[in-house]
Amino acid sequence: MSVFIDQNTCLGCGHCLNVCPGDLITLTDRNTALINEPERCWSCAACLKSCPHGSLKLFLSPSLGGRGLLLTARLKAPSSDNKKAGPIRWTVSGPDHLTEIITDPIRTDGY
Amino acid sequence: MLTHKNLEFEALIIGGGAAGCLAAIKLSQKGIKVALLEKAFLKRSGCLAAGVNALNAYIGQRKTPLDYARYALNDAHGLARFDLLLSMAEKLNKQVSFLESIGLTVHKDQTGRYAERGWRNLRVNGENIKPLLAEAVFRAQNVTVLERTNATHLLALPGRVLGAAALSRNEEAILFIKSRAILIATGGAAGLYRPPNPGLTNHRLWYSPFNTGGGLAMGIKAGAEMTTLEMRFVALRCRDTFAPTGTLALGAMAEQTNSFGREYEADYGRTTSQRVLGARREIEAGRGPCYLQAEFDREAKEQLYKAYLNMSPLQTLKFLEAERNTPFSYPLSLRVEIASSEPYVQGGHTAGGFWVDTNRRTTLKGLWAAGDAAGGAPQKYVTGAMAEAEIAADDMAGHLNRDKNPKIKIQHNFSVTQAQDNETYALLCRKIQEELEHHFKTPPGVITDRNLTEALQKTMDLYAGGLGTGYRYSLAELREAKKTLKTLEELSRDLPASDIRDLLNLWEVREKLVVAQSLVEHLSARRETRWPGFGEFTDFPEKDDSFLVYINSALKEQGGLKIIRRPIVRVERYEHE
Ligand SMILES: Cc1cc2nc3c(=O)[nH]c(=O)nc-3n(C[C@H](O)[C@H](O)[C@H](O)COP(=O)(O)OP(=O)(O)OC[C@H]3O[C@@H](n4cnc5c(N)ncnc54)[C@H](O)[C@@H]3O)c2cc1C
Ligand code: SF4
Ligand code: SF4
Repeated sequence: MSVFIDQNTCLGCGHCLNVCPGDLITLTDRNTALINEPERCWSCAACLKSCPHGSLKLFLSPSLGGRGLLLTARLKAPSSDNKKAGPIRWTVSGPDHLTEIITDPIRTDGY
Repeated sequence: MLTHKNLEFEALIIGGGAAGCLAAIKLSQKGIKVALLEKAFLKRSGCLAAGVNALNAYIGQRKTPLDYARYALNDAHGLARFDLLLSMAEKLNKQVSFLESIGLTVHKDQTGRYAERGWRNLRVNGENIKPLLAEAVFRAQNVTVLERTNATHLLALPGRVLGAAALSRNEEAILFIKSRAILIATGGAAGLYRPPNPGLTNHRLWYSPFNTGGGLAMGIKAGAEMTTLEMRFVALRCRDTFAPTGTLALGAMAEQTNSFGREYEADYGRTTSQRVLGARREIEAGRGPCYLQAEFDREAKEQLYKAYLNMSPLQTLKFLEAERNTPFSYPLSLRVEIASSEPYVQGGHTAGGFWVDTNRRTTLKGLWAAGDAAGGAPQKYVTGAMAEAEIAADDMAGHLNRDKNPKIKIQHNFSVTQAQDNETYALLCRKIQEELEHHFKTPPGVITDRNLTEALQKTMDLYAGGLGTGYRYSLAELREAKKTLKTLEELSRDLPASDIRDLLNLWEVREKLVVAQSLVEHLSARRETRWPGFGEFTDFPEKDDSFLVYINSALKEQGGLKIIRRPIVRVERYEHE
């Protein structure tokens, strides 16, 4: 288990339902995302990249050395003329409220 | 109960990963109507879910495919198929061009040529490699993609395959798909052994936990010959996250060091198995933990973070956690602790999988295999899996077009009429439906797919050379494994299910039990220790060249497996008898 779903910002748009390599994600009856059987999660971050609202966050379990940092990924849709142009923006935030942004110029597939 | 649906396609591909996607594209280009079955979603399924940051199989400018084949053969300590390696190696660079043409960013040098890292490795920004492949499939004509569709059975007669059965989560139905050319591209098998991380993190493996050996199990049950399953893959990776280490070892030229700071790799040798062994021996001798260690300036460190975000974001998070705890100063001497994984059966890094001929035909008529599901050709990686898929697709197309041409008489070595054939097909479908529906009729009890999976993993760990025993196993232990696995398999036939997801979960443990039993037979048959890094047979601790043969297995007609020893193939073409 290593994905935290921010119930306050999830809008239930359902984008994350169609990417998980383990087909683990569904919507609750309150229309927010839910990881069924979270212990089956591979921590691959595929779902993070599909969420347009940054509501899915990857964390490292304490048994793997984690202390509470959260990682989100935001993809920018590619500009039409150059498929490789759209960057991916990773945001790391911690319990200390310090945030750090890492931008990687990979082509992305939008959301 | 389950509704069912009958479908028919010229070609059928099972598994939409690197190999499956490429095969679909190739068959479509040849005008063949093909269905691609994927248990999850094409966009990010399989090993490539998180991305890659290198293409590990490539022929550098000063090298040839022959060099690659020799290198892989040597790395496997002689036990690989020359014909498979060579035919794959010849098509590696073509896959790189293809990936670049669909949008993959491959790093180049100042002269505009691919920037080679070593002689067989290219750096890429590959976070999006799977979405790119998936988009290419969705753009292709003639391809029907069936997502959330998990193949469970081959519809097989002795020696040939007529189709496949699959459970569709979208349609809540069982699909019976008839096809004259079927490709297994389901990857290898994870989850046979107790994993290194506990409880909630037990799926944080190196290999994809969703590649559960389904294709192998279907093949075994249909009577296909399997090869070299006993050459399990044990991955030496970053501790905790099991993220790949190539970025550190090849990218930053990091060396393995023990806790005394001594570099030890040269003491053990540099084949994949020897490198895994080195770390283990150092730890056993009390010199652990072991690390990959390299110097970084600030920019190199940032590059490293990005590289891991491209393929294993959890590892970057781990670096960031460490950095927040103790801010780095530069130049930074970064030590990443390494650990070896539980064993996997997969034909991508090692050689376990379907026994195929040079065209990637299995021993069953109408069935091909490519990628991590196919045996005999280790060191495949993404481009090798794709190369195999291309070879298989070419041959499948040839087979279908030959059949289409009425002037050529096809010689079937069985004489059934079409009507009889249809009847047999219907009977096969009915039997499978009954087998699956049986689980809905079973009342819930105390045996569940979860506690059976635990039992399987514990048994394999203890008695078939898992992490817990330092990958050691003895004849007596393997006998225990056989006994327990048999009982577990009997129990698994009566697992209860109330919906299709239950059914898929219990099917997963059923297929793992099939693969595990074959694996144990293979381990018992190879009475030597050829790859000590991947496993040590305590009764036969040395390499013994009378075992320089392929250990193959196939189902006997009366049930049970027979072991077949096949001589090493040193020629460029190999055909089944
Ligand atoms: C963590 C990791 C990192 C890697 N990094 C690199 C790298 O940097 N460079 C490199 O060159 N190689 C890398 N590799 C190797 C490479 O990813 C694999 O060799 C390659 O993806 C194998 O392709 P495949 O098609 O055989 O399997 P996969 O790509 O895994 O595809 C198998 C597919 O079959 C589907 N499937 C399985 N069972 C069924 C079923 N019963 N019914 C329907 N569908 C099913 C799965 O969902 C999956 O989509 C890495 C592998 C791993 C695990
Ligand atoms: S991290 Fe990967 S495996 Fe886990 S829920 Fe998200 S997409 Fe699924
Ligand atoms: S993609 Fe994001 S916002 Fe949409 S359902 Fe998933 S978590 Fe919620």
